[in-house]
Amino acid sequence: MQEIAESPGIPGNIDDFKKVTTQGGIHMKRRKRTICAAILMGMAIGLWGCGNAAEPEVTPEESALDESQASGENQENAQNQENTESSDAQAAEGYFFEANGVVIGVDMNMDDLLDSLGEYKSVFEAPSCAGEGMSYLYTYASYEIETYPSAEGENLIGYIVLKDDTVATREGVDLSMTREDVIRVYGEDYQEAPNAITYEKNGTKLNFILEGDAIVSIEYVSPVVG
Amino acid sequence: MKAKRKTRVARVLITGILILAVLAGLQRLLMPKYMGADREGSMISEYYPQDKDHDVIFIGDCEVYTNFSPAVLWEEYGINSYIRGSAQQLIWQSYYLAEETFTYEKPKVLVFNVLSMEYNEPQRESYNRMTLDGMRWSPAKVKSILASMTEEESFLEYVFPILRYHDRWSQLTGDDFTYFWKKDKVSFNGYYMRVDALAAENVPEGRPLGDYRFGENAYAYLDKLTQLCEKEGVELVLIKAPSLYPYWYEEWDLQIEEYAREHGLKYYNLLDAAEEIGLDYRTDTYDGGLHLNLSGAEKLTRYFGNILQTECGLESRKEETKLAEQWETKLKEYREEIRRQTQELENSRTTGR
Repeated sequence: MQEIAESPGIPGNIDDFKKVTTQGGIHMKRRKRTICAAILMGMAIGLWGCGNAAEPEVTPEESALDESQASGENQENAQNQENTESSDAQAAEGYFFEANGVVIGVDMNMDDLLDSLGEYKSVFEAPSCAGEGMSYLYTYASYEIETYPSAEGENLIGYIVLKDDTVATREGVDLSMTREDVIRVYGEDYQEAPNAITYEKNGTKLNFILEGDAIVSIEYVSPVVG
Repeated sequence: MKAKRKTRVARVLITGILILAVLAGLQRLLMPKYMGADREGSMISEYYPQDKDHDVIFIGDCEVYTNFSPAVLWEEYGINSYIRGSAQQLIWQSYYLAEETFTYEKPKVLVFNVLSMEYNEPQRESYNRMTLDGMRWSPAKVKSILASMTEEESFLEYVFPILRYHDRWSQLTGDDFTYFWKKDKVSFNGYYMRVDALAAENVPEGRPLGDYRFGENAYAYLDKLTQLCEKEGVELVLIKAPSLYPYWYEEWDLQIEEYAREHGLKYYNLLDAAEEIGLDYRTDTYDGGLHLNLSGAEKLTRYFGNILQTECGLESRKEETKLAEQWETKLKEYREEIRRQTQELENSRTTGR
């Protein structure tokens, strides 16, 4: 018993008990403070972590400006090659269109492709409501590309629309062909709408818009906008 | 013992209240203030302090809040109106805003812009937030959130926005502190004013669609809106505002015409009436044909005011002293804003910026 009473923190008599309970209260307070401090530190670390995870917003204009500031032919070529390589890797995963030797897919950054695609005929700028960025419709001779702004301000491809038979899908379908040709090339696994048949691969939709059996338009649609 | 217990309870309560106050303050600080380029996000909440005695309520997307001026409706027709518009307001959001509005007041006419019929599913969180965060808590808000959420969103983040916005702490700007307590008024009875002009050029035709039918969900909410208005004794008027883009397909127009005919509703395609309205898309739009500027909105409102007066039977209330006084103050602010924006535009022309 004596041994126990002499053990630190175990009261041997009533005075000792009072003393120890007071000390216990101090310990409790310290423990509460420690818990509070830990919670606050946790919140601060949480906020810090979240803050670091958030990317600063970049508008398409700023992005384009950065692009134009990147000088040197080698740098440009290297970038084009890189785009083509990464696009080729992605090509196995979705539907892609190819123009001017450039592989174009939905959700790619249009600003990275603009130089390689050559001059467009016109561009229509459509500001999103409430400062949510800008959409662009780039019209080329035989196709159109419509973009949408990402949350980070990137100029991403939402639609690619093939408008005449001088261009074709990578699998070889163009506007001179028919519904049967499409099914022969892409198979029976399609969805049907009143004026279209749609194939889907990894979220990318490939729409063949029809008038009767004739194809009037072919479009690649991003899952973000479609 | 009792006294000690009371003290302990009091301490716990005070600590709890302090923690809640800190969290509420943090939440207020971290939530977007919508006072910059995205100021349309502030419009929904501006309705609540109004005297709710409107003859006409507009609901819909940017095609209502940029294209109609309630100040002109009052000045020229004595019609007291308000626009409950918000960026990319989807039809279920319009429906629940109407439901909520009718708990405050019963206007004679509810005007709904039909462009949003093209959307059958939730679209973007940022636009959802601009409509939903500004709504006061009510059953309508809860239902609107549930109908609007994209897959990535959660209801809890609407109840406790700090869960959604906590990572804005590193993006806080001066605005977050300036507008912590009180925000500037951004609209004139829901009208978003712009006096600058950008001519409409090369506006694209619509690309062919595989399916021109509006979605089932969109139709379901149009049905609900029609039934709600019928139940509340409010006349529902459908319009398509005269914005050139996004493209409004003939096939879509025919469906709305048919719906209106079947349900005994009035439908006005104001896009087709652009010439009669006197719209000049070189000078009457501020962004190349998507939204009308002040000049365009005032022309359109004069035209539509005549419809409200002659075809919906709305009478002038200019004889009502209290209402007339309120509008006198609002018109003063409206004219002051025209003067301010015009001056700013002149300055930017002079300095070339």
